Amino acid sequence: MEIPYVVEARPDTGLNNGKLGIWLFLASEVMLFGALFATYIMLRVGGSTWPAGAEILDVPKATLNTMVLITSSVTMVMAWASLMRRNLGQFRLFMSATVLLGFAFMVIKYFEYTHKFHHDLFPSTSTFLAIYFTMTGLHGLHVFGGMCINAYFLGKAPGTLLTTAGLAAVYLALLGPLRWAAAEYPGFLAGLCWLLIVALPIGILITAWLLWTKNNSMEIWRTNPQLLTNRVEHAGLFWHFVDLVWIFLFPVFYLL
Amino acid sequence: MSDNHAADIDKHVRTYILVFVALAVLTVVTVAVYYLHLGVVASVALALFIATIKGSLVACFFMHLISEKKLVYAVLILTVAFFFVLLLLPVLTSFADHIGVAG
Repeated sequence: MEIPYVVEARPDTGLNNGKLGIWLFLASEVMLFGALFATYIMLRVGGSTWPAGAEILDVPKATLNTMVLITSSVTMVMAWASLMRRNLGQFRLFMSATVLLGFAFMVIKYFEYTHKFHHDLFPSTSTFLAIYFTMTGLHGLHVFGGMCINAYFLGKAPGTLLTTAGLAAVYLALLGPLRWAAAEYPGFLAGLCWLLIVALPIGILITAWLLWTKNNSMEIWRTNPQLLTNRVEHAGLFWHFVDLVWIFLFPVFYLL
Repeated sequence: MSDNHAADIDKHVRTYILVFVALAVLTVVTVAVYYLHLGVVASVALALFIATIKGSLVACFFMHLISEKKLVYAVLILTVAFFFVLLLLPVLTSFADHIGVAG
């Protein structure tokens, strides 16, 4: 079955359906993060004191992460431009760079989080840390989601490999602080068990699904290159949005 | 694809590189301003101002909002309006009467 308006624009909207869809989704994302920014303002203005973020958080690491994310936005848009030029080799190069930069962002964030945990700084420690972990955690989840989508466009083998490596890295990242916390606080042992019982099978299922399901990115490239180009553009809109959120999170938590 | 189209993309790519440089410079400026220790009001205003410029650069050029269809603008105007209502919600509900009183 031919799905209409994936390449050509719908006459009434002037857009292809994917473009309109992703913008509506991003509108809902603005409200999601908007609610949390409103929460931040309320907590900060309503609180009797508010700590200086730079005294608790790691400004150099966050500055580096800002640069990493900005660079990944450029490689993302270059990946799209490569497809517009119908240059698959260049696309693969830029898209892989985008996924790897997302990975670098997560690794740096992991070191930041672990450092906090080792100094007894948890979401429950203070209101500041509660909203910090909530917002940067949600943002990190978005980075991870974007990485999975971007990896998918590289084709079955690279996509599955990169997503599985990413999942494994997430587990290792969670395992470290959880194992440490389990030793410090016996209650955390339950968290460790939950990770193994719930999260691990989910990861295995995701990898199994990626191996079993058809990844038609390269097939689409051969039959309808503009469709893949459009999909990459829409995934790019999501990726740039995630970058945009970080541009605000960085000064709000680290510098103000 | 026509040559005209390819030349168009080349022009886009040059813009992306310029935007990247601008974003990198503005990131450095954001951090530099922090180390000036300007006082709360000035530093909040300045940091948010720079972040807004950076965000606009990303939205206009990377997300192609500089030349987008009317419907996308309509969706975004509505979103931005509700976003600001959301941010003002704590003020609109006079939170000061209820929160932080005990402290």
